[in-house]
Amino acid sequence: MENSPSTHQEMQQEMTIGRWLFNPFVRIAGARSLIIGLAGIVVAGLVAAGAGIHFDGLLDVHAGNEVAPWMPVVEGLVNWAVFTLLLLVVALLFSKSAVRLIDIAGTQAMARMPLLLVAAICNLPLIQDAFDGVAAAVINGQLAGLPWGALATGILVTLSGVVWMVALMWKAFSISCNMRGGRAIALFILAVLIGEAATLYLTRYVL
Amino acid sequence: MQGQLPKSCPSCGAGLRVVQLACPGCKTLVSGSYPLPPLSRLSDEDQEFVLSFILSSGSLKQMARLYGVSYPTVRNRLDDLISLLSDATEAPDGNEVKDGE
Repeated sequence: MENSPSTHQEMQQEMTIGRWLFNPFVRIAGARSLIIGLAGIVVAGLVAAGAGIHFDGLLDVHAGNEVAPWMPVVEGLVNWAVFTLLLLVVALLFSKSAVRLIDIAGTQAMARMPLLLVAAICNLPLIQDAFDGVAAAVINGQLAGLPWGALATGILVTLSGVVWMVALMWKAFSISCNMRGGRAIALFILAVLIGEAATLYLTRYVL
Repeated sequence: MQGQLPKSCPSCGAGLRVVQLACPGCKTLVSGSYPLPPLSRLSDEDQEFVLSFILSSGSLKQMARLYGVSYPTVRNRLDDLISLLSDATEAPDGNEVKDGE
């Protein structure tokens, strides 16, 4: 018999900056990740409200007009709670391990930390003005006057943040539910699709 | 210096068997063909993990602190080991147990 597979390697690996950024859950899970993650969701929501940003869906970041300070916070909490429940169901049905709700909830909360960076950068006056100006420019047909550089930066940061968040959500799921391989990827994608539909409905029509 | 117990054939990689045992007192030799116990067939790192687990009274939280990793990381490794040992128990010769199955 050789070593037990990838978990052995995970435990042996030094934590480089890359691993802290894309797989911190080897070191942090449970209550600690839940506290860090929930604090991140609340702060990201408050910062996002300042920038007029909504988290209206599991993977959605949209610029709006006036946003009540509590709205992105509640949206963030709803997105996190819905996806945690979905992954709990997946784990109970398909995982070979005895998973803990606190690990799924904590790591998924922490996986949403990139949204804090997105909200902070979108709060920069230059980017905020660019987003604010888009709707007016489209209506007036004056696209030439838009600050395209700032707009492109804002969009690139938002997209990168969401991709980073999805990568973290996958790692969080893989470690907290002990699921790997093709079937785990398929179940994760299915959970994301159901989660996106459910949170879109909840954040747009119920809240 | 005490050498490490070899677990697989250096030529073909198949699991090794014990064919001779010796009494250090009277020098009696016992010959036969005995499979290595499943725990002995684990890698050194996995044996160390199992030993730490027993010395921690089976506490995954204590193991997580000892290794400096999160609780689910330790639990996942333990589950991988359980899977390996289950396979080894089903295939006592050790020849049919494949890593990661």
